[in-house]
Parts: sequence; structure tokens; C-alpha cells
Amino acid sequence: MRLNKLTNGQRLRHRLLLALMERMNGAPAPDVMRALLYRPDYFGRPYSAWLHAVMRGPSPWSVGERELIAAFTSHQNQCQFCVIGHAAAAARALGDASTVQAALEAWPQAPLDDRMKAVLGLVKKLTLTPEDVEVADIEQVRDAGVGDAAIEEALIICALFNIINRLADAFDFDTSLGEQPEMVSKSADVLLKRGYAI
Amino acid sequence: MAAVLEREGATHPTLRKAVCRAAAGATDLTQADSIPAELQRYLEKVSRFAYKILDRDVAALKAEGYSEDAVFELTVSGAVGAGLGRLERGLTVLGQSARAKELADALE
Repeated sequence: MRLNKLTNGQRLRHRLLLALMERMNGAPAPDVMRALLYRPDYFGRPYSAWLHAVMRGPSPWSVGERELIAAFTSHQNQCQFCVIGHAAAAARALGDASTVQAALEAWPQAPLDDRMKAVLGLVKKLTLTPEDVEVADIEQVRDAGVGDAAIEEALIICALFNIINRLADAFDFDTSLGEQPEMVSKSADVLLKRGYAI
Repeated sequence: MAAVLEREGATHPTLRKAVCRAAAGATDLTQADSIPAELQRYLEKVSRFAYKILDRDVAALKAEGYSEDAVFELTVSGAVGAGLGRLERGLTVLGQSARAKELADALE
């Protein structure tokens, strides 16, 4: 972590919460928790509440599909930390790790339905060249059978992960968890079970 | 998310709002007069390719006198701007498309 305060400047109750989390989960608390818990009223609490509502609330997309959109957005931003966690959560929720991997590596050829392929195309463009997104891009997604409410949800997921991807890389969240498949799996379970609220 | 821009902190809300607007694409970060030059370089990375940020980028800001809280606030402001700018763009185009569809449906 590039900011010492995110590690050593936490309030006592947040230090205790992180320690409790580590004990309950049997895994180190991910750095994202430290960033969200640091001065939580400034950013972490409102951001997490919004993210939890979008990722775990009622939606035209399943939890697994939403996690895949999150992982895909993170992959476009080359955010290793977020790709590890959300690809694992998507794989666990969808019950299909190979499709998630294929979606990240070459989404147009991945064995995804037309709805998901179309929306990933939009998410990629919005992440990499937002100024180029135009009406035709939306129409393409709608023509694939995605309703406007589902398009809006995907746009919000894309936006929220464009935020956290930047913080993960700017603050240098620890990605060594990715080298321990058991820990990745355990973190994915926790994410699916508890969601995002802090 | 208003707290990111409006809450009292180590940096002035005016600066955070300028950072957020620029990261959202409303103004060119490297041409934004309201943002000090040493911040422009860092925030350009936050906004466009955060994965390229290095230890020395953050160390340089600290050497210029920015506290860790200031770096935290400015980074969050830039990231939020980049994310919400994309959302605004997407929703604007979705709205344009929905209106065009309504018109086309009405003409059928």
C-alpha cells in the first residue's frame, strides 16, 4: 500500500473489525477493506452501500452475471487486484470458471449468450473510450435482447468498478492473494455470502 | 458520493471538484489551470491508466508537501470523476437512444 495511513491509520474499531474479519474468514483482510474503512464517511461507506445495492439487490442480471461484468470492467482497466476477486466470484456464482476465463481473454468468442456478449462490448467501449459511445452502441445491446433497465444496471456496475479499479492501482492493493487459489476461493465465498456493505 | 467533493478535509473542496470534473472528461486534466502542475501528471494517470502509477508518483506528491490524506482525497476525487463521467456518458446516450426508439415506434 502506498499510503501508510490506509494500513496504520485506521481507527481502533476498524482495526478490531479487520482483525475479526481475518479470524472469521481465515484469510487476510483484502486491502480494499482498508481503503473503504479509512475515513469511511468520506468515501467507503456511501460507495459500498451503492455497490452492495447494485451487485446484490434486485436486478435483471444474476449475481454471477453482475460479477462477470465487474471482472470484465476490471480486466479492461488492467486492474489485477479486482480481476482476481471478481473473476473468482463470477466463476463460483455461475458455476463455470472456464467461461469466465474465456470472457476475459476473448469475449466475442466466449460461450456467452448474446445478451452478455453485447453488454460486454458496451462495457469495454465505455471503459476504454467513453467519448466514442454512441446511440448505435446502445441499439446493438437492445437488439441482442437486453432491456433498458438491464443496460442501465450494466452501466452503473461499469462506472462503480471504474472507480475502485483506479483506487486499487493507485494505492497498490496487494495482489499476492492471487497466488493462493485456496485464499481466492475463500474470498469469493465471503464476497458472495456477505456482499459489499461495510 | 457528495461527501467526496464537499466534506471538509485536507484539500479544499474547490480543488476536489476541479479534479473530479477534469477526470470525468469535462476539461483536459493537463490543461486545467485550477489544478497544480504536479497534480496534473498524477491525476492524468489516475484518470486514464491507473495501472501505470508507480511508488515514485505518490512519493513525488508527498515530496511536494501533499499529506497522505490529501493524496487520498485527490485520488478518490479523480477516480470518482472517471467513473461517474462514464456513467453520465452512458446514461446520456441511453436516454438519446430511448427517445429515438419512442419516436420510431410512434411513426410505425
